[in-house]
Formats: sequence, structure tokens, C-alpha cells
Amino acid sequence: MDLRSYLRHVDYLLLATTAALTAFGVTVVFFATRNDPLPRPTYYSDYQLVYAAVGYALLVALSIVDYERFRRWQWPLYAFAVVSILAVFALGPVTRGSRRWLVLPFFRFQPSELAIIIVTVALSAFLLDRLHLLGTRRITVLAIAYVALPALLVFAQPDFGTTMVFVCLCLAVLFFYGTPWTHFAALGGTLVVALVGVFALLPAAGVHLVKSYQMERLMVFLNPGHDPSGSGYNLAQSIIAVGSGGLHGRGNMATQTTLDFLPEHHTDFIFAVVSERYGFVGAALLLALFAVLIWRALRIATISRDLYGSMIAGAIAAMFLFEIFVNVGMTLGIMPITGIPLPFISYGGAALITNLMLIGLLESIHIRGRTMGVAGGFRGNG
Amino acid sequence: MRWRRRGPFQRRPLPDGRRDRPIRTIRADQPFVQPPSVALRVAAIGMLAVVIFAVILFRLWFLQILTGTQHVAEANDNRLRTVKLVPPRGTIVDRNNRIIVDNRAGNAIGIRPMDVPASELKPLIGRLATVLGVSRAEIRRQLREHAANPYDLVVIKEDVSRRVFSHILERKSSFPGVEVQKNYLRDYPGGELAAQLLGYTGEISAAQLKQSRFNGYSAGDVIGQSGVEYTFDRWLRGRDGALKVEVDAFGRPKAQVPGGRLAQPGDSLVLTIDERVQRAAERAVRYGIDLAHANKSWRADAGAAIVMDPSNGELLAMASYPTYDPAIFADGLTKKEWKKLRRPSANNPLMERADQGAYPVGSTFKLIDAVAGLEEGVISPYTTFPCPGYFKAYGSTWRCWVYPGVHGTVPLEVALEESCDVYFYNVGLLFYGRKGTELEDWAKRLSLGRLTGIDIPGEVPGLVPTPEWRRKTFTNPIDKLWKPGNSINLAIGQGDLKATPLQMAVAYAAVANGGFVVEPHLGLKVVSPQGRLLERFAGAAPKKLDVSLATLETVRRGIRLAASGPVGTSTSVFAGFPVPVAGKTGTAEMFGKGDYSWYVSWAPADHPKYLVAVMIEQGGHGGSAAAPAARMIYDTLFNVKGGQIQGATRSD
Repeated sequence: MDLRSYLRHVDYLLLATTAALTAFGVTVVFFATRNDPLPRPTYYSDYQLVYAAVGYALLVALSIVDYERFRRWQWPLYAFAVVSILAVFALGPVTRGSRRWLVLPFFRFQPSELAIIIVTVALSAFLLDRLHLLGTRRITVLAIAYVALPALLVFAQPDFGTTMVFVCLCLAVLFFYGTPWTHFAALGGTLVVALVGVFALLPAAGVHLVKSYQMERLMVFLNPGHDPSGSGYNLAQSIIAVGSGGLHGRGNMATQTTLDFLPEHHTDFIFAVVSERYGFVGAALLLALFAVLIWRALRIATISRDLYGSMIAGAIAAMFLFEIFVNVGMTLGIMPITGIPLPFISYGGAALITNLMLIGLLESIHIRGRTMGVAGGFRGNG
Repeated sequence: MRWRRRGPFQRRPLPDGRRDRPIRTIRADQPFVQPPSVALRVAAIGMLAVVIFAVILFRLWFLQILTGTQHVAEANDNRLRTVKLVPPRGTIVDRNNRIIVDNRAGNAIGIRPMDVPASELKPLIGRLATVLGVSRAEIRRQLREHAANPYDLVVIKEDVSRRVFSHILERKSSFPGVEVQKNYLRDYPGGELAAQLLGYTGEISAAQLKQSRFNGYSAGDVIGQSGVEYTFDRWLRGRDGALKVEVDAFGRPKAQVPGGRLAQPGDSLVLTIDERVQRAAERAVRYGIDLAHANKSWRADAGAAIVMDPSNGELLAMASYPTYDPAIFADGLTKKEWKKLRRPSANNPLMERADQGAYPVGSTFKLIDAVAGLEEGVISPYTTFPCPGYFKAYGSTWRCWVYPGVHGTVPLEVALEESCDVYFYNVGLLFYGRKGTELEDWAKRLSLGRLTGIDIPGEVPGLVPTPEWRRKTFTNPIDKLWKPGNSINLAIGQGDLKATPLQMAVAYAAVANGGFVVEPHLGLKVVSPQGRLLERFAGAAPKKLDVSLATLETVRRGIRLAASGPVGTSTSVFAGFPVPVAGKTGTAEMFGKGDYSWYVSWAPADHPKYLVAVMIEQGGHGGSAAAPAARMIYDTLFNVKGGQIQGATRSD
């Protein structure tokens, strides 16, 4: 594929939306953290810019590669994901009570984030290779087992948020694969039973699978006034921050953020910063950008060259939707508090780079879908 | 290395209607159409997205638009704190504007608990306890009491020396969360001078906050707890200022916000006290006690002295011994200091004995007998009674103090001069015969048995026993009866009678000033920090007694003779004193204790300017302890130098 054809078939609207989201994110990270005790006010936003630069390089790289290759590299990629997560247990340093990182020369590497991309492409390939089993219970169970291995390893780090993303991915890929609705109904029923068991029955029997802080968060979610100076503090401050933003936002008077009342303001609760600083107008603008992102991702699922691309694009769309809903919902008090960051906006290199790579995958699918009939061959340059 | 291509599309048959590739169309812009199943599922996720975004937007609209104002208020509650600015308390000066109580800047040491890492707390408390000399338990108690606001400074010690202060500042890292706060502390240039009447300050208590007197005060306010600090607190305290500050989530101040208020320093209180006289009175009480010891009254251990203007009740001095250093309250009283003050051997130094100590008054009561007897017609100035040294009535015998000597047959003035007990036993018995309460009524009219109204808290009323009081107080039918002995004992200020030195001073002042009962007071005026007169205090208007001038003249002559007549009980004390003095000694017996030495007097005798009352607990005879002490005060009042003071050898 030549450069002209590549450039002609890039989804520029998706790219522009991504760029706008990244810029928005860096700006908000700057305003959220400039009053924190830091070596310099731009400390976090500088890092976020560097991560974005790396992320865009990888985005371009991934958009050039024909995603069909990943289908062929399914097993090596899957093995790499599992082994790298396992390596974290042996080599990773403990930060805030969990092991999530591998320290490599020049940078830190978070295998569970890369595993999100790998599991998306590998699981889709795994399922497509067994298309003849479509509709059987066996393939659904196999898919769940396929994801369960890395997901449980991540859960053991422990990283509950990323585990949830794996669950979402698994369901989304199965969904676009064409799994019968009845399977989802059964899975939903199982999930409800499992949740009731984990959060209600097992603790009563003295078995604690979830951490006590997770239990507290659930209590706060079910009962918003619960313990406002303790476990309910984050939620209470977040709602004050969002609410005080009003229609136009408080600008530099966004005291919930600048005076540190809002905890985790540059990571998990960054949507509250947006809402306080820019008000309903700013928050709605951000949500509109997200809506465009999801629209483009779903559209790419429909114009994909093959079912493989459709499954990947659809899964990415569903995953972004899930992350946005869980994160924004937690900020607004309509979802329980989990450590899932807001895509492109929350500070954090691993998540930002992963998300930009996912956009690269989407572009790759878009370009391949557009060029197939014109520039010769669905195999692309592979 | 090339991976083996593996794909199902060539080898394995697909289920019905499924393709892994889309259907190719002939359109260039839309080369593929996805099978219906994928389109359906994309549509389903799209619908889900629409629902999710709608829910989020609705929730945002509810929080930001519908309830936004309320959340802005909550955010402001979070960030705005009002810091109380405490002004310096007003100074207290004497009538000549000499400073008695001042303020000085101090350094308080406190802990901001949230700045102390949890692991550091225990060693920190240990280090602070050592450096500040405060017990660990005390620091822990303070921290516990303020546990509700971990961002606020918990003051551990109100005042630390420069040495301790710099020790802590130089080792900042060993004292995390420890801060120095500037404050104002009461300063007493005169040391122990007038300690009890000045009173002390302290944090308002929960019980006080409920009283109507303290409407408008708030918890944590430092108020006057006794003495004039208490009475004149409203003026002395000034007005708290307020500083509006913006704080961060940890309570650290970030910026000042407009809308504060400056603190207004307290107004100055001018006392009726004359510092020079007060000093003399305090010295005189100690001197009286020393004299008592010299006269083998070893148990003498306390006393009081009052100098009053008999015409208006202004107190020039009010001394009480033992005393204490009020500075120990200024920097926060420690438990140890409090224990020391309350020790029995300390003999209650906090008590202002001049108005809070009620004692039998002994012969000083005879002035009241004389006034009552003359006014009620029980006796005339010319009535005489024979004194054989004792008095017999109802089968009992009462001795005169002169026993085994005799006073002979004497009229009233001489009976007062030489304090003849038998004369007044007769008066008492005559009053008993009337079956009324005329004597008791006169005692009450002259301010005994009730509050004089002095402008400091804690005054006691004392007791004037009456038949009714006996009936109410006792259960035993014999004790319930008012017997002749009760009247006879009352007549010489013994028995159940109890009065404060201040009450006796007011009674004598009434005779000296022509029949006016004055309200003694300590507050003269209040002056603003800029020097403007804000308020003048005169006490209640003197109450005119219905008493004839002749009566007063007779009694005055008798009292004057007692201090200057040939056989006066305190004549020797005032021998050679250039100003004529009128004064009556008193020696009050108390069961199980030494005699209480009294002297109540005024001078100059004919135009009274000063009224001096002295009482020495267990000091022996009135003439040998209290009277010389009073003379010492007169020396200062009239600038008499070097006068040799003679104690009367034996008197009453």
C-alpha cells in the first residue's frame, strides 16, 4: 500500500477527535495539578505530553500494519501477554499495595495494559479460527477460559479495574462474533449470582474475596450519605465539585480541585475537575467528543474488510463506552467507585498509550476496509 | 520466521448464512456490506451508548444546573474558615493610673495533629513532654479533647521561654506538626499585689456558656473567672476580630479573603485601689501576723485589711493573706500548680478574706450595740453599769476581758473606750428583755448578715443570728430556743455571729460618715484604649439610716476615746500619731482556734477620710496585732515616717 492511498483512507474525523481528547486531557491534567506540591506546575502535564507523543508514534505504526498479521500471531502474542503479567509477580515493585509494573531501561511497562490490546486481537482471532463452532456453548466457554487466564492474573496483582475491562472485552468480542442472545442471558444470570455470592453470601460465611475497601465503596454507592468523612469522602467531594461547576464552570475559582478537596483529581476523578472548571458546557463538550469517538469506532465495525476487523472495532467501541460510563458514573455517584481511568483524559502513561494504540488499530481497520477494492488485495502488504 | 498461515476459510465449511468476509458490492465508496448480524449488534451497542450518554447528561444537568447553587455553597463551606483574632485584654490601673495588670506577648506551643505522621506521634509526645515540662498524659488529654478538628492547632503550653522556643525551632525535624503561636498573656508588674481582688482569667466553661451573663460568648473564649477580671470582663475583653481565610483540604491556610474584622483591644479599667496603699495594706497584714507570732500567738497564719473612703465606699486597698502569684494562671494553670494552691498547708490563698471570710467579730460589735441601744432607748449616753470583772445572769457567769480586774461603774463612752464587756452584757440582756430583734435589725441595717454589694464575685453574707434563725436551723428543741445567753453573746460579737471585715468596715463607715451605708466598690471607671471615658462607677447611692446625730456623736466620741483616751484599748498604738484616729479593737474567740484579732477605725477622727479595717486570723488580741497593723497603714496614708509602733500589751 502506498503512502497516497494510506493518507487518503485514514479516518480523519476519528484522528481529530482523538487529538482533541488528548489535548483536552493534557490541559485538564495541567489545571488539576498545578496547585499540587510539585517540582514545577507542569510536572504531570509534561509527562502526559511525552506519553502522548509515544502513543501517537505507536498509533501511526499500528495503523500502517495490517491487523490481519495479529490474527496469525495470535498464540505468540497471547503467550507474551500471559508471561509478561506473570513476570510482574516475580520482578515488579510493589506500589500502593499492588504489583503492576515492570521496570525496564528508560521506561516502566505495565503488561496488563498491553494485554488489553493483545487479548482483543488474539481472542477475536481465536474465535474466528473456530467459526464453525459459532453458536455452540463450547466456544463461549472456551472464550471465557481464554480471557480468564490473563484476567485472573491481573485480578491477583491486584488490579480490579483492569480485570473489569477484561470482562467487558470478552463479552464484547463474543457479542460481535455472533454469540446467541441466550448465552448472554445465561452469562448475565451467572454474573448476578456470582456478585451476590461474592459481596453478600461469602462474607457472611467468613470468606473475603473482595478487599474491605471495595466492600466500603459498594456501601457508599448503595447509600450515598454513608460515612462522608471516611470512605464516602471521595464521592461527597466529587459531587460537590461537579455540582459547583454550574453551567459555565468556576474557572480558576475551582477550589474543590485547586485546594485539594477532590482526591485523585488528576487520575480517577478527573471528570469532576472538568465539570467544576468548565461546568455543564465543558462536560457536555467532552462527552460529545466521546460520543463521536464511539460513533466512529462503531462505524468502522460496519465498514470493516472482514469479520475480524468488525469484532476488534466493535470490542474497542464497547470497551471505551464501558470505561467512560464506569468512570463518569462513579464521579457523578451513579456507579460504584472503581479504579478505572477516563480514556485520554486521566493522567497515566500506560493507559494513554494503550488507548492511542487502540485508535491505531481502528485506523488500520478503517484503511484496510477502504482500500481493499481499490488498491489491490485484502492481504495488504502482508 | 514465518508463521504458518492458518485460516478456516479455505478448509472448513461455515455454518449456514455465515461468512467471515463481508459481501462485496459494486459501489466504490461502500465496497462491503456487513452481514445483518453484525449490523444488528452494532446498532444494539449504539443504542446502549445513546442510553448511557443520556443518563450521564441527565445526571450532570441535575447536579450542575438544578442543584448547582447548593453545591457552590458546600464548596465554599469547604474552603472558607473564620479564624478568631483575640485582641489584647484591657489593662487594669490604679486610681493614679499606675499599671497593675498589663499584657505581654507570649509564645504558645501547639501541635497540629494532622501534620504529625502516625508513627511519629508517640516519640513526639515524649519529646514535647520533656522539653515543655508537661506530662505525657496531659498532652494526650489535650489532643483527645480536640480530636474533632485535626487541622486546628492544639495548644499544649500557653507560654514558653525563649530558650525552649528556640530549642524547638532549631530542631524542626524532630518536632513535626509543632507550631509556635503568638498570643497575649496577662502580666503582673506588681507580682502578688492585689492578687485576689484582681482575679484570674481562664477558658469559659460549658456551664458558664449556658448562663445569661455570658450571652454572646463562644466556646474557647478566655474570660475573667474571678475578681474584677470577672466583673468587668465585658469591657476588658475587647472585641474579637475575624480573619477569613481560604484553606486547603488539610486545613492549611492558603490566602486571606476580604470580609474580616479587626480585633478591638479591651478597654482599660481604673480601680479605686491606690497601689501604694494596697502595698502598705498587704505589708501591714504580714506585719500583724509577725507581731502575733512575737506575742506567742503562733497560730496566726492569715489576715485581711481594708482601706475605704467612708464617704463613698471607694476601696483604696483590700489585702488578703496568704496570697498567690496570679502569673501562674496567665500561662495556663498546670495540674501541679493547682494542687499546690489547694493544699491545706497553703491555707486557701485564692480566697479574698476581706469579703469572703466571715468570722466572729468580738468587741468591734460594740459599736453596733451602742448605736442600737441609743436609738432604741435601751440606754442613754449617761446610762452606767457597774463592772466587777464579771457578769451574772440566769445562773450563769460571763467574764469581762479585764477579769480578775474591774472597770468600775462606767458610762457608754468609757465602756467603748476600755471595751468593757460587762456594760454590753447588760445592753444585750436589756435587748433580750424586750423580746424583739432590735439589736439584730440594727446589725443588719449596718450591713451585717447581708451582701455589701461589692463589685467582685464570691462575697459571703455572714450571719446575724435571730430567734427565727435558731428555730429554722436547729432540730433539738432546746437549741431552737433563743436564750438570754444568745443575746448576751451577740452583744460582744460572739456566739453564732459571723461577719466579714468588709461588712464591719461598712458599719463603721456609716457611723463615721453621719449615717450613710455605702456600697463598697473597686471599679472606678472604664477608659477606652484611646483614653476616652466610657463609664464611671460609683456604687449604689449611699442609704441614709434613720439615726440621730446625737447618737452618732456619742458613739464616735467613744470610738475616738478607744484610740486616744487615757484608758483606750489602742491608745498606746497611736501614741504620738499626728492625726487623731478613732478605732475599736476586737478579740474574737472561736472554738478550737486562737483568738481573731480585729481593728476597725477611721481617721482623721472628726473629718473621716480613711476607714481602715484589719483582721488577723488567730492573731490574738485586737490591740496587739490588728491595731499596730492598722497604724502601719495610717503611716502610709498620712505619710508618717519612722513612727515607733507600740503594740498594746493587753486589750480587747
